[in-house]
Amino acid sequence: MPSSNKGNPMHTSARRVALTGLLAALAFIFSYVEVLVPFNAGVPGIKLGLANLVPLIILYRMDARYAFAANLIRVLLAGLLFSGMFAALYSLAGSVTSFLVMYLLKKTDLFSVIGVSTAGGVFHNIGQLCVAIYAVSGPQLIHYLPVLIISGMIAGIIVGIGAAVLLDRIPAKLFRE
Amino acid sequence: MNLSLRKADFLLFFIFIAAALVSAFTFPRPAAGKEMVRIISNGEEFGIYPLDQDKKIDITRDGHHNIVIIQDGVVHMDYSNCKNQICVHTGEISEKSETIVCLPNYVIVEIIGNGEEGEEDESVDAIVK
Repeated sequence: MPSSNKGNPMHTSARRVALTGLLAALAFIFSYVEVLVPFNAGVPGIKLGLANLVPLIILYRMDARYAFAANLIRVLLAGLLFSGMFAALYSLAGSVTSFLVMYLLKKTDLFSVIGVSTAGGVFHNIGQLCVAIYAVSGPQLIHYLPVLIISGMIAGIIVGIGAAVLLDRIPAKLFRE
Repeated sequence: MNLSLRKADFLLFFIFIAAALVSAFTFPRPAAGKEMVRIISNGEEFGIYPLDQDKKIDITRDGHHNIVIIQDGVVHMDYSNCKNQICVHTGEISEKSETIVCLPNYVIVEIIGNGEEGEEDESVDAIVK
C-alpha cells in the first residue's frame, strides 16, 4: 500500500470496501478449514470456532467496524455454503452476540485476548441457544446451557491462545488501515 | 509471548464456570426413562409400561405365550413359544422407536415416548439435522 502514509490514511469508501472484502475472505478461509477438519466432540453443535480468530485480531489491530462487517459476511457465506439456511441463522445470532460481547470487553481494557475470546466463545453458544429455543426446539433445550458454556469456554481459550500468539507475531504495521 | 492472563480474566472464567454449575443444577436434563414400553398383541394394545420400572409381563393368547422382561431400562423378550425365536434373539432394546417383533405370535414390543410433548419422535428434527 504505497500511497497510504501513516496519519493520513486514505479512508475512501472503495478502500474500505476492498479491505472489508479481503478480511471477510480471510475469515471465510478459516470457516472452510474448520469444515474440512472434522472435529467431533460427541455433542452436537460444538466446534472450535477457528474463524473467530479473524474478527478477534482485527478488533485488536484495526477499526472494530471492519471486524464486524467481515465477520457478518463470513457467517452469511459460510452458512449458505456449508451448513444451510437454518444453521446460518443460528450462526448469525451466535456471532453477533459474541462479537458485541467481545467488543465491549475489549473496550474495558481489563481483559487479555484470551479472556475476550473466551467470553466470545461462551456468548456465541448462548446466542445460538437463544435462537434454538425461540425458533425451533422450545424451552426444554435450556438444559443444554451448562454444556454449551463449558464448551464455549474451552473453544474460546484455545482460539484466544492462538490469537495471542498471532498478535504477538504478526507485525502491527501490516494492519495499517 | 503475551499469554499472561489478567485478574479480570480469572474473574470471567470463574463467572462462567459458576454460571455453568448453577444452570446445570437449575435446569437438569429431562429425566431419562420418559420412554414407555408398548406391547401389542394380535393388533390390539396389550399394555403400556414405564421403561424405568422392572417388570415381567406374560402375554398369553390362543396358545401363544411370550414373556417380556423390562429390567434396568432395557426390554427383552425372555421367552416365546414360537418356532423361529427371532424375537428372543433380537436382544435388548432401550431407545425410542426400537421394536421387538414376534411374528408367529403376533406380538410387537415397542418403545414410545410418554406423550408429554406429543407422540412425535423429537430426537430427530425435521429442519436441523
